[in-house]
Amino acid sequence: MNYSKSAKHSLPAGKTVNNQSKTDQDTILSSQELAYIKPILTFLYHVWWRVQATGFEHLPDNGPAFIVGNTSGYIPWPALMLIYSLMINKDKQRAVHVLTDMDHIEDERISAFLRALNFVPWSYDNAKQLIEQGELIAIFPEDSSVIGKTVAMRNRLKRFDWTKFLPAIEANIPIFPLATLGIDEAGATVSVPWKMKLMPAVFCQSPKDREAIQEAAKKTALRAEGEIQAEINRLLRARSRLL
Amino acid sequence: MVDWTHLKTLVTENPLQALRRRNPVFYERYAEKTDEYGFDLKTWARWEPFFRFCFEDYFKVEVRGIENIPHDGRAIIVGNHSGVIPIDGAMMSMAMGNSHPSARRIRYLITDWFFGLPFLGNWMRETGQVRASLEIAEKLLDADEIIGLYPEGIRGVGKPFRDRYRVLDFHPGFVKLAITTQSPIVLVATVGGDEIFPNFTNLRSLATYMKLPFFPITPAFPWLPFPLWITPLPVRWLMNIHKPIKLDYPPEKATDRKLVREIAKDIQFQIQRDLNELFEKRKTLFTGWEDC
Repeated sequence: MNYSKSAKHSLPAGKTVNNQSKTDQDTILSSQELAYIKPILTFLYHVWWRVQATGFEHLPDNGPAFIVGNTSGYIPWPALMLIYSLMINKDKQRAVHVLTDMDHIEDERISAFLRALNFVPWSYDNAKQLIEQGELIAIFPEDSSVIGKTVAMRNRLKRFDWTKFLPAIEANIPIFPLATLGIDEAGATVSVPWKMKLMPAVFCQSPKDREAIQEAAKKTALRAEGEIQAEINRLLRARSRLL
Repeated sequence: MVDWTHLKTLVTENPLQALRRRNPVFYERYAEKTDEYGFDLKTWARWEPFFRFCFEDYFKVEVRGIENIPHDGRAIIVGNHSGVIPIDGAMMSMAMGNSHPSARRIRYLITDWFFGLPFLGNWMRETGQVRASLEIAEKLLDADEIIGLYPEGIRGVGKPFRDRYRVLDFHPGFVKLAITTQSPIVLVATVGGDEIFPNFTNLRSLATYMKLPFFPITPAFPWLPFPLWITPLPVRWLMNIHKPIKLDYPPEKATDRKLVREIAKDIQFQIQRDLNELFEKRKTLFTGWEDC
């Protein structure tokens, strides 16, 4: 099976194996685009959404790993908060590449800007390449299905796309579920506190034949989705008030 | 338009004769049998029209996948709990007794608290419910009965309205039971039950003082007089029954705590996913899924 898409989905220049000479910290902090956006992220993270991020001690110090999270809306705010979280985390400072469907982003400037912030168009080949480079990768397997979610459906996950788990299953790398509470009520206009919790890795096995790999990917997708939904349910029960 | 036929049956006919005429499969299966846990076909027949009225006319329960429940042999039915007054088990029993080609009773495992209540304890025994104990459950499965349980426990019944259709962590005991007795597990996701008594809050201290599992505050309770506060909202229900899961593990694996916990988690996640999807597809609270 060939998972690669068109040339437009290939890794952008500067995000190839050649990038390995830079440390993660150099890569993320030297980004000019990040310098522009950092004050905005700082404001959103510390003042507007007062993000409380926990559980990053589970992440390995180096080597490839998947972070799988829930998201909401057109702009991938959880991905940006995750990038910022890992950037300011003193104990686990790592760059994270966000593998996501970018087809629905029609504005080329926004697309280019996101790419500069380590957003990478989702394709099987891109995922494989990042894994081979030993990078930390974040995916949000609900993708564009979450756009237009109703109020009644807030904090309820859509079914995860299991095909997004295939590269991680094949490479036998750890998959860390990340539950984020607050995104469905917040948007960019409401100051609702966020809680982000990274959980221990879900099991990840690497069977030999294609059929078994697909089964393992489906099972892992259900497990990651379930862990995140269960954690969101727990966080909701513990939340005393919305604002 | 509500059909009152079932309620008329409740008061005008000999209940056993009515059951024999209307549901001969069920009647023949249990008419001559004695049950060590107190099941009484006469009590079942007396109350069945009332619950059938709730099932068919009041909640208009839609059941999907009833054929997934085995025609013969043992099985464990596992679902999400709901309701403040937990009638989800009764609705499942109605589905199994009336919509399944091989009509059978489901023996629900009920927490001891209910059996301590005056009148209710006996009534529950006589309608087929049993005390929640591993020993009783194993005996029933060995006798090739269907047992039903809600691994959220009584906490699942007292969930506030804002937590509707958000399952609590499952107690993994049912997986251990399934492996020990080599029984298939049938998952049931129920949407509707969590909204019949919207529970705004739970007064914990009052509940502790009155020795209740929870003290709910609903639009009707404790403000309105009896029986108005036990009148549920006529919300449409949907019960989605999954294909049976056969756990291919030898009985000695039942002591593997990690394995048992992992399987229980997977089952919990499967039900939660189903609830999310059914909840999203529902058109409105009172019209259900008919146009979806």
